[in-house]
Amino acid sequence: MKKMKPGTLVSQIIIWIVIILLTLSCLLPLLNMVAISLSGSEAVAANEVGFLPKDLNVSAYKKLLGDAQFWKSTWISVERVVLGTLINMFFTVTMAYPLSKSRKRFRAREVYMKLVIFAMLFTSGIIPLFMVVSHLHLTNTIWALVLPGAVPVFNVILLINFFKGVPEALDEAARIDGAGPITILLRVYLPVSLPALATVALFAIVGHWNDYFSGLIYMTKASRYPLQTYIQQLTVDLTQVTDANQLKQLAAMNTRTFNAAKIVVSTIPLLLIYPFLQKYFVSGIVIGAVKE
Amino acid sequence: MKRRSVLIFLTAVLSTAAVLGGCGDSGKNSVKLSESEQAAWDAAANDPYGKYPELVTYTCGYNLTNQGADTLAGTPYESDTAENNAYTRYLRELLNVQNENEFEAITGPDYDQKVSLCIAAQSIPDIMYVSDYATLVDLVDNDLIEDLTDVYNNLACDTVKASYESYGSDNNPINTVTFDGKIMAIPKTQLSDGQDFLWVRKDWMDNLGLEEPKTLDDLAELLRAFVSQDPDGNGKDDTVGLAVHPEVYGYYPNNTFAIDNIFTAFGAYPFVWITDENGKAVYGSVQPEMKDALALVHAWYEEGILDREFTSRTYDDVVAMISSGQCGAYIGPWWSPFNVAQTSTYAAKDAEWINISCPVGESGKINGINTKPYAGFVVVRKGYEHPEIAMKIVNVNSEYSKQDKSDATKEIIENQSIAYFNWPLYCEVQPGNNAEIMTGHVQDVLDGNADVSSLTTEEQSYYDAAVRFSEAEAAGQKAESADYSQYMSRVVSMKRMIDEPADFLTPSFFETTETMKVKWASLEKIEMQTILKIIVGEADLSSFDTFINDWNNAGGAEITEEVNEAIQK
Repeated sequence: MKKMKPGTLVSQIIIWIVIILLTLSCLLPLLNMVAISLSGSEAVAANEVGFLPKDLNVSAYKKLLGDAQFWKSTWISVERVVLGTLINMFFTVTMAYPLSKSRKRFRAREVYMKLVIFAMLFTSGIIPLFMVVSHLHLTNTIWALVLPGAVPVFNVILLINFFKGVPEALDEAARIDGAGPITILLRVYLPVSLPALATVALFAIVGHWNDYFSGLIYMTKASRYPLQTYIQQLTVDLTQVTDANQLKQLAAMNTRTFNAAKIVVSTIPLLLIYPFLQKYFVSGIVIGAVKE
Repeated sequence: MKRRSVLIFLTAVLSTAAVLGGCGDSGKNSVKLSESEQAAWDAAANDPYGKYPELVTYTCGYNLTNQGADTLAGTPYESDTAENNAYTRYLRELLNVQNENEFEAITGPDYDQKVSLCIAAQSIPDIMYVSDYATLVDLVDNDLIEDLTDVYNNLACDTVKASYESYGSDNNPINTVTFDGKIMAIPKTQLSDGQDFLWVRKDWMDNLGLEEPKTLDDLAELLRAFVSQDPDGNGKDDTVGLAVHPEVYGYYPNNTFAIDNIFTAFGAYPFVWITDENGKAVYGSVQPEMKDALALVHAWYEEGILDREFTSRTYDDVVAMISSGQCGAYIGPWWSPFNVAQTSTYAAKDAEWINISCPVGESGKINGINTKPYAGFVVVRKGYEHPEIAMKIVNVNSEYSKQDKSDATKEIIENQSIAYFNWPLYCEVQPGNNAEIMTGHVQDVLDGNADVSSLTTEEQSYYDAAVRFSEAEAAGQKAESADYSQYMSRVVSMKRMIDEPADFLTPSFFETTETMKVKWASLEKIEMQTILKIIVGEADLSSFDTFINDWNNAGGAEITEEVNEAIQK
């Protein structure tokens, strides 16, 4: 191995310091949450918990795992992620592929592109959206969570740009071999686009998993809430008591340990998914596919 | 060929629409009732507690609490839902009515949002609770809700009527819901929340041999001792004086840690509309009395006898500061023992909290501010065939369930003590001083002047908590924090509230006007910035005069006009 130049060494050190600081700023809050979830409630109320649990106890987790609604909500979220991501991916791919073709081959392309961009920039307000969903009788069903966002426009544009980067020669070669558009998409474009697909899929998964708002709007029964909505409900601000009737809520307000446990448990699935998708984040597959 | 595929497509669309639309109106079954059946229905509809011959299902908006399902886990109620719980079963048994929730959400912004959504979609449930006056006006203006005048006059139980009247003829909540002589909603009453107290750690006072403070000067003395004389005896200079809410004042008396009492002691009433000597409504925060109060708070801040870091603390930080045993004095309402700041210090730091009427105004009493007499409204959808159900449920909430000592109500109370609360209609009507009345009854039993059986079911639960607390203390143990909170608030702190009444000012206006909707947020911002700057010494006291000018120019003057017009109406 060659010795580094002093200049390179300094810049390497700076880069590492920045990366480490960034990593810590993501990691420490999570660690703090884990510590709180494992601590005694008095220590938590007094802000005495840092990155290590104090008065170690697991009662919050015990209580959590015994809560039926938590499991129900988790199941709804899982359902939503699987179904929603499949729908998202189908529409993203089938929409991005034709739109990545030149105007010569797809004459109405510009019209569609403009529609797509318009839809990305302007959205309707909550109320029209709610009315559409409720008049279609989708409220309280899983479809209310996956259909309104079936076409993630941002992801479509991302994928269009990636497909555009795929060498035209690959397409031509396949056509010469007699492949139709669908075969080309499935056998040529998708295999070379795995990194992009993984990215888009990850966006879709994270988006579906983390979204609490649509659950809050479209689900009128608390028993139908997906996990994030359920958790959001537990962290609603109760500091401003407006009537003495809320006394009992206040009495039980010291649930920070319990809430921390919920947050920790709800982050675990995402933490697990990352490493699995990571192996697809290998760029440069198209490099070397064509010789010019 | 082409034509045929269009046809097929159309058929497909139409049949899908038919399937999806199938869940709409299924048509009213117009079965003719016999005379005796009709009479039974009429009798039920005209009796405050009449039971319907057949089950009546009404749709409603349901207020949830975020201490819901998870707290029920492991109790006999764990499979309860918002449509099938101790209370809904009780109502079904008693009146033969069953709620079907059109929507459920946590009381507060989430619930209000659902209400606005359903109003926008023009499909409101049969019966629902709305939390603010503006929404009620909207509903009335759009002719979406039923006139309840007859229902109220015929069916409201005595407790409900007497409770409304207890607010006085000017302040009667029924006035608020009367539009053109018609009662359009059933108002939920807002109990008078009483005055704020100074909450002090008695154990610290005893350590330093201090007397209970009364005036502002006494309070300054006490805080000085707390800051400088090591009240917790740990040999370290680590104590803070008076805790202060980051917003300083407002929402009297519900903002625990807010220091409104210091302002009212000077006759200044920030954050509310008051009547000036000419009978005109003016905004309390821009009156000259504010200056004296601000001068004093600034002086205390400089001296360090009130929390020097309050501007950078959040509410949770203040709780944490008190919980960690750094601070032994704050201003808060009578139910402060429910706050984690007290329960955790009671359990972990042997703290002994007491409430003191301090600082007092010129009259020797605390100057308090009254809250509005109504909190929310129950409305009935226009055209609903059983509008009286709303009134009957409010009757049960406010009267019947309190006096009924059957096992069913015991179940409700027990259920509520775990997961507050399970009413399909979030509306109870009580006299303004109901909390005081209840404590009086509990105190009588504790003193041996009355029998336990004389208590209502709610009072009984307070009494039981008091007994459990005393037993635990007598055995040299710490009581459960729920019992501590209940006993300290309902018995100890409330006793002071009864024995040492405050002078109350009733604000002249509670609602919002048109211009307020647009400009109030920025006006509040100017106000808060000025107040904070003056307190921490970043701006001179004279900048308060500039602020009054700015405030008036930025819309304050216009709003004041509107408020006066609204009061004239």
